[in-house]
Amino acid sequence: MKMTILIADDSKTARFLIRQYVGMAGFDEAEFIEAANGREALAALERTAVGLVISDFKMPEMDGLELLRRIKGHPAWHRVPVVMITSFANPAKCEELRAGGAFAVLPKPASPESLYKVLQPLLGAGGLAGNGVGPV
Amino acid sequence: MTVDTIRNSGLPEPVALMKAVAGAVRETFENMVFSESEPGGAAVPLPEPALAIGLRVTAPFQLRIVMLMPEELGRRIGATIFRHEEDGDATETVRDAVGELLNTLTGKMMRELIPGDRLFSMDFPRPWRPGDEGNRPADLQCPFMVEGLPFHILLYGEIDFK
Repeated sequence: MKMTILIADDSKTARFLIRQYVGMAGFDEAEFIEAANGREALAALERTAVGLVISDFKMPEMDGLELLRRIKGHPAWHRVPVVMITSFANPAKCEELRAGGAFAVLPKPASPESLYKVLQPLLGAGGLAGNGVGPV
Repeated sequence: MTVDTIRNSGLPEPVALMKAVAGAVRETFENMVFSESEPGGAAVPLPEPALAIGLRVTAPFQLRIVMLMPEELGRRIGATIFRHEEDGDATETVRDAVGELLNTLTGKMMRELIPGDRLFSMDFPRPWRPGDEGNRPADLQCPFMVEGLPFHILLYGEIDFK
């Protein structure tokens, strides 16, 4: 089943690595759209049905925590799971992001194994595409 | 600042900082570049031209961490990460790749140094020049080798490393 994953990170390298790792984790049917900050991510959500958001925390213009709040506060998007991958992922930051509604928080550097552990339960619960929402 | 003062202030001791740097460099290179890094012993002069990217830690203490490497190593890192699927040796791509490497290893280092119940903050990676620090020498310089090429981690901070 095709799934669309939105990757938000200001680093082109980080976005590329996440695409690679998701594929290496076995989810090679995924389609990706990319955003360089939270604002671009919100614009992408307006245009495209997304099944999963993978976001960095530290981004210019709008950071990952604000993006998470906007997604979880939006009537059409609040069920879309958000996985945060960030260099800041110590226990205190993980707690803050989970309290904000993050499905999971992974420290950088992520790996295909760590992504598999996070994504597999989502697939088991009916597939990422099943969480998708239409453009608003 | 004495070691006791550093202990009492919660700032990392120099030895702990050096260990955290070495561990973060090793793990980050293994995960992102699939290369083994080794401590370089005495600081090896870097061949020119060099690529320098810096990143400021802003809390709970002030620290600037700089990654300094030959441009050749930067190009190899870009090419390894992007596996020739994109223009991995373009200047902007190389800077982005080395910046993400520095961002990742700094986060790893801070997670090692800071108690888990405390937040830390840091800025974005940016190109760095010696003049950014008033041309003063680094407070701590950690040399490494990767793929037969030297690179240095420089630390400038509020800690007295002597």
